[in-house]
Amino acid sequence: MRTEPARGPLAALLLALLLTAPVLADGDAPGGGHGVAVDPLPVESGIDVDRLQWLYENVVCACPKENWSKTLAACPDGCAIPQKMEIQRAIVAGLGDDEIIDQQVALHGAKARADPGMRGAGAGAYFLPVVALFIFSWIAGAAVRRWSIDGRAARESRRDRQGALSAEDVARIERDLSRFE
Amino acid sequence: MSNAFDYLDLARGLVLLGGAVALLGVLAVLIGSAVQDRRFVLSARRAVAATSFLTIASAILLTVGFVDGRYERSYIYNYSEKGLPLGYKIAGLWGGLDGSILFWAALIGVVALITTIGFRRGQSDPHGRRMEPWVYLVFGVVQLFFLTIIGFVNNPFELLLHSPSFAGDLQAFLARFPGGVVEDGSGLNPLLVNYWMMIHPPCLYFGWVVYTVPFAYAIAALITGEQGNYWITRIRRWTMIGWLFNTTGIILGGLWAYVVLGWGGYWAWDPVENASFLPWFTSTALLHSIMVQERRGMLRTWNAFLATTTFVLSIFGTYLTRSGVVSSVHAFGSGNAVGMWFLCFLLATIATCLFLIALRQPNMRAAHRIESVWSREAMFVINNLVLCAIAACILILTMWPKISKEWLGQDMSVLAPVYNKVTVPFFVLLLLITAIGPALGWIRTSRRAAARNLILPMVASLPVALVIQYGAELIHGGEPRPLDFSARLYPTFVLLYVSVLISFTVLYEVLRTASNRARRSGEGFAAALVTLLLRNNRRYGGYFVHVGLAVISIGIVCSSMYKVQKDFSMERGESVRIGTYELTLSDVIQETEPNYEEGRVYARMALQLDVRTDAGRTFQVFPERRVYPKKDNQAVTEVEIRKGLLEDLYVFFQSSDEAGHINLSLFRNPLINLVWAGWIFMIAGGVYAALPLGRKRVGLAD
Repeated sequence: MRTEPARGPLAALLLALLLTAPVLADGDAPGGGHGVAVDPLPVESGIDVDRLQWLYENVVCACPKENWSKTLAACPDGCAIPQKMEIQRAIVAGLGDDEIIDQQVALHGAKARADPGMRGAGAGAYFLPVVALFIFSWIAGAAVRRWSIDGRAARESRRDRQGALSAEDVARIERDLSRFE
Repeated sequence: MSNAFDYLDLARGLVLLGGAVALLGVLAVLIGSAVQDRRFVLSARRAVAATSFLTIASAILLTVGFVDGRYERSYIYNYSEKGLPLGYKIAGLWGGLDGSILFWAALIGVVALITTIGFRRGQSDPHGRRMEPWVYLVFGVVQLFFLTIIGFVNNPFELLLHSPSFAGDLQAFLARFPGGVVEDGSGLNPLLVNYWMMIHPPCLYFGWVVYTVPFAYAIAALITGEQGNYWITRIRRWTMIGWLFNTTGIILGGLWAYVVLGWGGYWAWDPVENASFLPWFTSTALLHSIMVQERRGMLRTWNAFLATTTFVLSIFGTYLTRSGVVSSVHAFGSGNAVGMWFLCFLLATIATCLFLIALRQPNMRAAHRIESVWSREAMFVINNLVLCAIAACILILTMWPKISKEWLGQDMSVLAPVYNKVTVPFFVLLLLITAIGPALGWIRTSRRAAARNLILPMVASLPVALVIQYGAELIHGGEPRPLDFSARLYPTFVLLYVSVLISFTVLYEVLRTASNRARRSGEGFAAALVTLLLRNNRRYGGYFVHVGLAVISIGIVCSSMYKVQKDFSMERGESVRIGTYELTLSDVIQETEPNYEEGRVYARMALQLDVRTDAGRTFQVFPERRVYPKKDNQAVTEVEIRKGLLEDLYVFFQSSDEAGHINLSLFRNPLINLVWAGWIFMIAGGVYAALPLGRKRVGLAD
C-alpha cells in the first residue's frame, strides 16, 4: 500500500494545505482527530492500566460519528481523547469505578453506559436471554419426551408386527397351561 | 455517455427480464403442481437457469462498467475512481448498497444453476423428482424478490443525473460537471481499500447465499411431506460449503478490523458483526443434527427448522446491514427504503416456514428415541440447544437498544460487556460438550467406557492449560486482568482447560481408534492411522474443525484477558515503554503521496519509532495517518503490527496537535495469532470433511 512520495510543487502545496488546514486542527473533520484541544495524555500517569482498560470497555465512545456503536476501548480515534481524559482525571481524583461511569452518564447521557445493568429496560437485556434459554430448554425437553414416547410406541408396534406376545396373550397362555397341568 | 448501445442499460434490461422469467418459473411450478404435469417442472428448471444467467450477466456488465470507468452512473461514481487498482474497481461491485444486492442475486444465480444441474443429473431419483419443483419455487421466489429490489428500489445502473444528489436537475448537473462529462468517480471509502475487503464480503455473501439451498430443500420436504433422509443427504455438503464460507467471512472480517480499524481488537459485538454470526450458529447446529437424522432417524422437524432459520437469519443480517435500523460501522447507511422490503420478505418467510412446520410436524415422527444421555446423539441435541440459545441471546441483545428505544422509551447502549456476561457461560458449555462428544458413541455409552475415554485427556489437559495460562500471564507481565465480573465467575483457566481438553479428547480418540485397528487388522500403526483418516474423512474432518475451534478459543481468551493497552502522548525524541518494548519517537514524516498509480493524492503523516526489546533486538515501526481530500478529508490510520510468534506489538497513531504532541496507542496482544491459525485448522477440517472420499454411510435409521 505504501508508495514512493510524490515530488513537485503540487505535492508541496497539498501538503501545506492539508496538514495545516484548520479543518484538521479543530478535530471536526470526518474521521479527523488531529489537534484536539485537550491536555495531552501523560507519558507515565501512574494510573492502573488494567483498571483504565476496564473503564474504557464499560463506557461508550461519545464521538458523534461513532453513533454510540463502540466502547471507548474500541474507539481509537482522536475524537475520543477528551472523554478518555475525563476518565483519567476522575481516577486521579479518587473516584470509584461506578462513580466514574455515573459521571460519564451525567456528562454524555444514558447511552454512555456500555452495560445498562439491571436498571429499567436494561434488565430486559439480561432477562430475555434467560427466557430464551428456558424456551429452548422447554422445546428440547418436549422434543426428547416426544421422541421417547414415539420410539417406545414404534418399538411396541414393531414387536407386535414381529409376532411378539402382548401381556393379555401371555396371561391367556399361562391360564391355558395351568388348566392342562 | 451517449453511446447508441449502452451495455449498462442492457444490464438493467437483463435484470427486469430476469425478474419476469423468475415469475414465470414460479407460475410454472404452481400450475404444474395443480395439473400434475411434469413438463411444467422442466419449464421451471429452465426459468431458474435463465434467471440465473441473466442476473450473472447483469452483474458482470456492471463490473465491466466499473473497470471501464462509467462514472456517469451514480453507483459507479460513488464507489470507484480512475486511480483505483483493478482489484478494488471490481470490489466496487459489492462496496455499496445497490451493487451488493446485485452481487448477492448473482451469487444466488450461481448456486441455483448448480442445483438445477444436480437435479438434471439425478432425475431418475423418485425423491428428487418429487421435491424438484418446490426447490425451484423457492429459488424463483428468492430471485424474484432480489431482482424486484434491483429493478425498482435500488437500481445500481441509475444515471448520476437522476440520483438524489441532482434529482434530474440538468442545470445543477452541468454546473458540477461541465459538458455533462463525469471524468472521475468520488472513490471508494478509504477504509474499504484493503485487500481483505476484496475477499471478506464475497466470502460472507457466498456463505449466506449457499444457505438458500438447505432452505429450498427443507421447504420442499415440508411441502411434499418427504420424511426420508433424501433431502438431508442432499443438503449436508451444501450446508458445509455455506458454513465454510460463512466462517471464513467472519474471521476475515475480524482480521480486516484488526489491521484497519486500529483499536487492537477484532470483534466488538457490533450489530452487523453479530448478524454475520447468527446464521453461523444455526448452520453449525444443522451440521450436527443432520448426522443424528442420518444415523438415527431423529430430529426431522428440528432439521427443517434449522435449515429455514439459517436462511431467515441470513436475510435478517441483510436487513440489519441495509436498512440502517441499528447503528454500525458496517451498515450501508440509515433510512434506506430497501429495509422495509427486506422486513416484509423476512416476515413472509417466517410465517410460511412456521405454517409448513406446524402442518407437517405430526407426520415427521422420529424413528428412534434417545436411549441414554451418555450418547452422541444426546450430546448433539444439547449442542444444538446451546448453539440456538447463543444465537437467540445475540439476536435479542442486538435488537434490544432498538426495542428499548421504540417500545419502552429508554435510550440505552448494549455493548461488549453485556454480550460477554450473557454469552460466556454458554460458550463454556459449548466447549465442554465439544470436548465430551467425541468420547461417546452412538445410542449408549457405558459410564466405564466414557470414563476410560475421558480421564486420560482430562488429566493431560491440566498441565498444558496451566502452562498456557502461566505463559500468557508472563507476557502480560502480572496478574490476569478480569474482563468483567463474568471473568471472576468463569476464570480464564476454565476456558483454557476446556479448550485444551477438546484437542486432547480428539487426539486420544484418533490414537485409540488407530491403535485398535492396527491390532485387529495386523497392519502397522501408521498405515492404520492413514486408512482410518482417509476412510472416515467426515468424522475426522469434523474433529479437525473442533481442534480449530479450541485453538481459536485459546487465542481469544489469551488475547482478550491478557491484552495490554497503553495510551501515550509523546514528543520527538521521547521514549515510552510497554512490557519488554521501549519505543523512541525518532522522526515525524509529513508529505503528500499519490495513492495507487495516479491521481488521488493524500496527505500522509508517518511516525518513525525506534523499538528496542529487553532482549536487545531493535527494529523500526511507521504508523501513519492519511487524509483523503477526495473523501471530504477523511482521515484513515495505517496501523503498524509487528507480528511475533507469541504476541503482536500493535502501534496506532491516534492523533497529533499543534503543540507537537503525538498521541499514540500501543497494544500487546498475546497469542492473537492463534485466532487466525485456528481458522486455518477449521477450514482445512471443513474442506476435508466435505470431500467425497470416505465409504458410503449406512445410517442406523435406514
